[in-house]
Amino acid sequence: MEKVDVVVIGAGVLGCCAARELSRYQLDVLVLERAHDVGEGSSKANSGIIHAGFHARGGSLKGKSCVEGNKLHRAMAREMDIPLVECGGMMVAFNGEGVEKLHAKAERAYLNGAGKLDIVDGAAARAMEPRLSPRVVAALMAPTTCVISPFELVLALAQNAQRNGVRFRFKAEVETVLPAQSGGWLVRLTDGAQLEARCVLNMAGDMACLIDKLVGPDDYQVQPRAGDFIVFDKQAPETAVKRVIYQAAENDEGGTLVAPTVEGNLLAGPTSRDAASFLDTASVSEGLEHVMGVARKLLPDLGASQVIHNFAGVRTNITNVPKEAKDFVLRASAPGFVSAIGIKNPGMTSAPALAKRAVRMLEGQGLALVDDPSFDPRRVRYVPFLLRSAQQQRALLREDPRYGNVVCRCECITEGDIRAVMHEPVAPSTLSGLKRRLRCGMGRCQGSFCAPRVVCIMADELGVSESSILAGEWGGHFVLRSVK
Amino acid sequence: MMRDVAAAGVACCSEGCETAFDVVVVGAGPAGMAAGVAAKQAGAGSVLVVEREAFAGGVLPQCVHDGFGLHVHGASLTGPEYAQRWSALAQKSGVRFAFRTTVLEVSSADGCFAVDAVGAALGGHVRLRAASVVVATGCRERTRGQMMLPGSRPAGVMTAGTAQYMMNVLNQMPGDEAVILGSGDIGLIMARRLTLEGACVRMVLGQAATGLLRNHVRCVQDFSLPFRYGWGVKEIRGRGRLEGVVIAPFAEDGAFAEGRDEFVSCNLLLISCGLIPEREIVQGLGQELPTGLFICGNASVPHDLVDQVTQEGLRAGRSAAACALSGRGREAKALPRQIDVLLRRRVIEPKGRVQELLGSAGLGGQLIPCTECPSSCMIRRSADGAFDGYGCKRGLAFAEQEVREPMRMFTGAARVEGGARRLVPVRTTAPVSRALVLEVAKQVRELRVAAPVELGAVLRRNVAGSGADVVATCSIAALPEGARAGETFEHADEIGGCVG
Repeated sequence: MEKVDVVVIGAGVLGCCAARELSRYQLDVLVLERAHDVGEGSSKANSGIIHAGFHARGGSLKGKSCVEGNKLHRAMAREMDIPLVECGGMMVAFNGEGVEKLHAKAERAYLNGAGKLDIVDGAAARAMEPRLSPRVVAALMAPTTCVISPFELVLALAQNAQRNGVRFRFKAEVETVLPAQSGGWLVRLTDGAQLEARCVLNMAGDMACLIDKLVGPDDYQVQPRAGDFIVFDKQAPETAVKRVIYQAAENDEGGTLVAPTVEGNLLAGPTSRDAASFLDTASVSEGLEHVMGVARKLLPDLGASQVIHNFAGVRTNITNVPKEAKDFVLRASAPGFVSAIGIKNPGMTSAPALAKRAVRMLEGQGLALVDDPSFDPRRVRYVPFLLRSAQQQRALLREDPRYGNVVCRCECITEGDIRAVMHEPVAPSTLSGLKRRLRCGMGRCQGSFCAPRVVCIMADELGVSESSILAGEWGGHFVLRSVK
Repeated sequence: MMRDVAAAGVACCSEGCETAFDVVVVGAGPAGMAAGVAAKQAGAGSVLVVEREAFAGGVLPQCVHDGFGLHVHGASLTGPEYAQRWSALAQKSGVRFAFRTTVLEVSSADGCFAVDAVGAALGGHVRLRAASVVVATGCRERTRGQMMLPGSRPAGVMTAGTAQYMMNVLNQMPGDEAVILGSGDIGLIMARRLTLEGACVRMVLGQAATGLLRNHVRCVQDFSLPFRYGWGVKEIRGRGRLEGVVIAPFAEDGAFAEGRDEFVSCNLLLISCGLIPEREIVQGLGQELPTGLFICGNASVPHDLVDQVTQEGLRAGRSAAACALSGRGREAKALPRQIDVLLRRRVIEPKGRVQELLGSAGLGGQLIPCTECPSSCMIRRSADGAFDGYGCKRGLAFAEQEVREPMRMFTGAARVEGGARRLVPVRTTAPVSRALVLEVAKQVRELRVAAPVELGAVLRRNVAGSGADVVATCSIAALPEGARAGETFEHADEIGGCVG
């Protein structure tokens, strides 16, 4: 039977952070992921905001890991060439009650270690963000808020972990985990495969709670909470915002915000509503209307004509703990078995800190952490042809003239780019996997022009039929068959 | 991003390459080709049409159906035929083309324009200079995202034009149980196209019947396809593959009526809900267009008919030439008579005739919408067999034929082997009995044609015993020597040649 030192269950942002963290040491690490790709769960439906840490209850694991994670992300972005924009954030208030909320948030930020945040008046806020509503009376400034590409982040972590020896197994769904006779854990997959691990890191997102119950106490209950998002076009002047803009809810706006993305789109969302299941990522019209309403409340010039896409993601919400006491759960549920449960917002920000903490927990459980001298923290990002220097472009064109063939006109991605990315480490296997790596199909035409061509190129590069190329994660083929 | 990209790696063109032109036209669709022709005929010295595809025609090569050119050419051409007519005219006029070359941005520079473009044919990422620029970049379709259609995001939801490109150019079947949202012309055309290729069109629905009358008659009514105008899609369902859509009628306030939801099972949802001009390449120039820059065709405003687009292109090309020449103290020449005539033809097609047809049901007698010409006359046949409401003799003959045996032109595409493209668009040489259309489609589906194929080549005589032949409506070159099929999705046609 295959034996490894550590099995990480789940290749989302947390699993990939942990995998990379473990790759610093002389360990045999295997990541099991039920999907075809990394980041296929909540991670891909994330706003990409690296929060400053003024939301979570002061001193909570959520709050502290958020502030610590915010710092770690900057270092990771430098090491692994991940696009991160130091845009800053502001939380705006529309009335006196809202201003009180800003003061309460500033207090939380201080307790979480994020330092002292300033509050400015409405005019000063509008001087910084001219599109901001004239109704805004005050804003809490959060200079450490930044945005990152959630896709690039997860990919970079996985690529760097793989480079440092971590193995990834996709389409590998855990069926059960049992104590092994040797003292470790026996992990059985739904395809019948079995392996033995000395330690397990259960970072399976929505499945983490269920998997935890296999070995630990049955003490938490989780429910899916969905959030709807709207994406606005680049270049549209109405969407020109520099900072992440949160709002102190006046009515029932919840935590809906607007945020620039590293690529230049504006994102609005999310909502928070019960979903039928963890797989139910359908957006709903009430949710989209709510998001549009809040976005227009913040930025009155926004309109439906700038919208290019909507989506929804599902987070894991612990339901049997009162709101005041709710926190991330990161614990050793059994000897050598560490679980992360209920990791929702700000999970992406907290992930690097949680991963470090999880690895230290394993050490506490007896896993020896011996530095691997060959560990290389760097990772090189694939830069699309049209963003390269003239000299590099000439060299690439000599090598393959298909670099001059623009396929995705909205995002300026060429045929050469697509063919190259198909051979990058942790290569994409679906159309949406390729989209997350190169952005082809993420622009204003939403793949109307390029998707069928991208399928042709992928099929040719992989040596398979076009009708075998999956559109997305769950088995849908973009091309049904040939016409004739 | 577009602007970042344009600035990132501009290199000078490879040695010996000419980079300055009187007129640069962006896009070799019907608007761009007409602009190129008119600019050259008006006396512009050097005219370059930059085209991102490997061939001229813009969207026309995928529009294998007929009905193009009724106004300016007085003939019902297929899209590929219309495109070839104009690309031949452009070449004859001395217009030069740069294929497989994408323009990233147009900017003002020292009294002229800088056109940043990328393409292997130009030797990479280059900056062209032009005294005048014509933007003929066409339009894109509204997507489900722009419509804020809620639901899941499975495979099988796409715009009608995407499905058209897949089926008519790439030989890819996007689905076989379709719902078509939007009664725009592309949606109606695709309802027929899917039916002819053996798919089941479950429903055509849309807020109002906005398509041309002839398309409603020939694409929906001819095949008895279920349609519901005044209905819309409320939700998309399905995980991997589309499983179906929830539909509902619109109430008077424009919102969905309560409690009238229905589920329609399907694995393909085509969206044909409007077109958006594509002119992001000139966004950096601001709202006020500088002198010497012209936007025409669907990049200016979406048109119903290609004839209108051609006329607009001619006007833009002539103006661009005049502008470029005046910079050198010269005047533009008058356009030759042959082109001036095309420019002056009246191009109007009555709108709203589908509602008229549907609204008049049950008034007694038989209504025959005439599809002979763009006038779209509504001919009435009374109980005693007499006709009225026709505008000309051709209309009367059409109505009589419609009662005796409706006849339809068949258009489609056939498989090519060893060709630079996968499919060759085809048509019948004459209209065939409507009762035979599906059998003709089946026989065309079984055809295998060896490349090269010449425009007009007979691919099958007397198809389905109809008396008409199936002919190619486009020339398809053989796969270049040493090229591997599938290596790239299309191979460049050697028309016009490239600069450099």
